[in-house]
Amino acid sequence: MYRKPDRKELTVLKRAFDKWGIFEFAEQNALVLNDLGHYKIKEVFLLSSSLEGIICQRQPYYAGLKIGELKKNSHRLCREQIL
Amino acid sequence: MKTVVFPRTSESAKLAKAFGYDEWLISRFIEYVPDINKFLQTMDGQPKQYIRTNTIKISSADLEKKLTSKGFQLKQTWIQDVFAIEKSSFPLGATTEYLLGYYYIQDLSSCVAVQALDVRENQTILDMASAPGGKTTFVAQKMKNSGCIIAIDINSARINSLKFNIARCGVMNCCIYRMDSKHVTDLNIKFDRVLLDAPCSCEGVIMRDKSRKTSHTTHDIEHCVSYQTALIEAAVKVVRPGGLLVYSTCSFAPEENENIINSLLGRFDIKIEPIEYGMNGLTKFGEIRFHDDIKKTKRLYPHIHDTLGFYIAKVRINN
Repeated sequence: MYRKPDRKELTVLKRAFDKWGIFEFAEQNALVLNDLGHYKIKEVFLLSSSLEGIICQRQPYYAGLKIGELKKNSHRLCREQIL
Repeated sequence: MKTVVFPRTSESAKLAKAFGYDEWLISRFIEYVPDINKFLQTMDGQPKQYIRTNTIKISSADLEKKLTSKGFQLKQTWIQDVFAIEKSSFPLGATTEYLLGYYYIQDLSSCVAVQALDVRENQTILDMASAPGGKTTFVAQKMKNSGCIIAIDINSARINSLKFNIARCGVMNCCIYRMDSKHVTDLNIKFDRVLLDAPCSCEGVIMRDKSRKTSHTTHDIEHCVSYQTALIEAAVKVVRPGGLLVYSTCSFAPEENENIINSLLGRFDIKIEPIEYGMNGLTKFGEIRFHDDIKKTKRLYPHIHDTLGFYIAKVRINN
């Protein structure tokens, strides 16, 4: 299920973006998570901000650009997918 | 609508035998395809290859430089960022640049359909039969990854290729719904642009799949027409007033093309807008007469336009 990240998850993601020097890029676009349901792994997707509103109203089959995965306190994000 | 079949003639029998087609198909081609002999000869060859630069990831100049250094020869077409392949040293799908999503292998005809859609940044776009994603990713790059594209397809295997291409091309303004596009009104969204590249009898891609010379029947056309009618009626309902609908098929059959657009006139407040590339749509097919405005729709023929067979109509929805 696609959903907005909570505050804690957003902090982890924004720190990664900040480390790569693309914090503003994350601000201009939306980040959503897709809970895989096993091993508490969440897929991370980057979307245009207008798409975020649509997928919150009706769950899509797939949305945005997958940029990595998020675990409880760590992430595996792929910088090359973004830049 | 019943598929129109013309009486056999000595010419249709001769051409069907010479080029290996079913005769009913040849007798129809004789009715509306200009220069039938050249057409059939071209259809026996291989289609010209085209690539489109994915400007989300690289500029056309940089891509040209990279591919030229690998022995490819590219020629710019009239559509910006689309190149014809004049010479290729190895398969186009086997380069690092392809895997990195720097280009998409796409026929020029498909690019014409996206050109006709006239997309702008931050619009809301619907792609009704989107897999494998050639047009979807082209729309995304034209929008510079802004706004949103709703891509619909019903076939999960085809959706997998759509997902792959979206990821490969770095598209982030697109979401996929797996559903029958006939029910698109259920989404309750009005769109600025709707692209309906309708499932069709695929006569236009005989160059790629020669078995279609004899494998399809008049019933296939009838089946496609009934589905296309349902799809286009759903499409018209979800376009915002003043918005555009582009309808296309890779078929030559007038029943699937001019007939579908003609059936909208008079029932909906629409206007057919001209497209700059291709031959005029038919206004007559056998005993059937179409509205004069159908001329503004376009047909692309392999022997004239160096593309696969294609039909495109651009429809403005007034209300």
